[in-house]
Amino acid sequence: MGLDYKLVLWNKHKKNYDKLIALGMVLYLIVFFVLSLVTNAEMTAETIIIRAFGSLAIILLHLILVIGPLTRLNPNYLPILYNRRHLGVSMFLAALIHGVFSTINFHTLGSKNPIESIFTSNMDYGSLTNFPFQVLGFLALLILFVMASTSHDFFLKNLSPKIWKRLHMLVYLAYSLIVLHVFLGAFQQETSPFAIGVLCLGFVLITGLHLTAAFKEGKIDSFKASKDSDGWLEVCTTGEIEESRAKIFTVEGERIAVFKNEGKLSAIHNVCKHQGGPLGEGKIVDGCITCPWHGYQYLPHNGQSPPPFTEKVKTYQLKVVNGFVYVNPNAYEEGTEVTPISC
Amino acid sequence: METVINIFIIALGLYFGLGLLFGLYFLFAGATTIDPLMKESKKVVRLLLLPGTIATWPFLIGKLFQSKKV
Amino acid sequence: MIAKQRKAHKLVWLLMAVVVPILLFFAIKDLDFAANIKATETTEQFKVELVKDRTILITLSKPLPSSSSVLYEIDAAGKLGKVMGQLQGKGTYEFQVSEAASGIAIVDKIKNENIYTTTF
Repeated sequence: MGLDYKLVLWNKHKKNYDKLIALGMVLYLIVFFVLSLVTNAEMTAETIIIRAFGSLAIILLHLILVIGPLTRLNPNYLPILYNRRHLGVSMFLAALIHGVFSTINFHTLGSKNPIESIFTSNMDYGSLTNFPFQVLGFLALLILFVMASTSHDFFLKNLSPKIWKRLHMLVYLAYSLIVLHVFLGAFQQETSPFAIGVLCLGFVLITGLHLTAAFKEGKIDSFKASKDSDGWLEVCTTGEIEESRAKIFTVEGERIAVFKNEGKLSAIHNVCKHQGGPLGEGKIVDGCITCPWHGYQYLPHNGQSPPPFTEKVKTYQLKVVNGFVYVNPNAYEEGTEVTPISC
Repeated sequence: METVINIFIIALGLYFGLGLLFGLYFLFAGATTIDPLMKESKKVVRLLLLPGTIATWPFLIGKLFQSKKV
Repeated sequence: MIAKQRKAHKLVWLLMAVVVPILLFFAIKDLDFAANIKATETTEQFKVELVKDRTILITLSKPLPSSSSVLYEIDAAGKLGKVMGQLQGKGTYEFQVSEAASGIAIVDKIKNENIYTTTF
């Protein structure tokens, strides 16, 4: 949120996060360099750089990919999601250094254009065991470039959140390409069962977490509430919602969040306009519903961001009968005022 | 296969080349018409946005035309 | 996220959970885990590989001792033909040989010595 675009949106929390990322990366690189020199003194600097940055990028990518499902399984992990964007850009930079050094080392010395050389030095495209692994790395790097370069609110807004999210879902393709790149490349030269095991374990962990989270969320989506004679849905009792918090319900395939603010109930669409964060998992801070992902704020009674901001979400009508909360499944237009009801 | 690779590399080069031309126009002129937040944005910010514009220009060009029609 | 995106995520991961392990299996099924890595490392200064479509890969593990190392094509008559390039520092060099070539040669032009010759 802002009145113009900033180079990087930083606050104290994000700065600490970034310092931690930078420190972790530098430490890893130092340890990698020292260990490589100790175990194999003949290794050239270029080789160490290629391996150090390549492996760093893979570790960061694993970290990035587990954050999403972890936060869906346990909200305590939300602080690491908060600045995942910077982790993503750092990962791209590590992968880029790996890619540039590899290209210089293996593909610039001949008479061929280096990019062409990446594609033609191994023409075994029909083989599953000897597929040209550099091509996979190159394509993954292209995807990571698109993602890292659009990691700014300007693109979220101007590409539309839908297209932006689709582009950024390409990370799963990039991850698959990268795992194959390592299996067909590095693992062919250095046949280490340990390294292969670690990467397999990483794959099982990431896939397992994503699927667990997906099945858990699927259950919430298939929640069917009972209807009263007016077609309103009974969702819970008034006591089930804590003060300044919400409960999330699925109404006609859409998730809505029912918030309690100063003892009164309001319902809004659960999806934040910024990056689709789950508003109902956030708290009311200073009278505003605050998205747990990046802190975008909305007023409970009209779903509008407080001025000067302009984000708006749909609102819903509520009623309380005998201590039960009912929701009218027909949403109001985004930003429509609905008087909060006492319970 | 060689031909496919050559076409792919040329297409990639063209895509990025056109993206660069469009990006320079878009960030320093076009974007201001569709995004009011760009008006106040500094030059360094526009440069930071350049790689992303090069990467996604076909989406942005569509948006620019749509806004001009309206 | 909205319900559609959640569904898309679920489908993508179900697909990946099936496809990626199969591809990974094929990638490493021929690997020899018992092989000693050090022993396979070449002690020669360079390695020449002819890959498909008349592409030649030359890997120098150390710079060649010769002061100039020029790579030539050997023509059909067995004589030195077109100059393809120079080998300098260590690294992997890639060259494309013409249809007419019958081999390649690395020649030290300053000493006028033949360092390496191979015919296909």
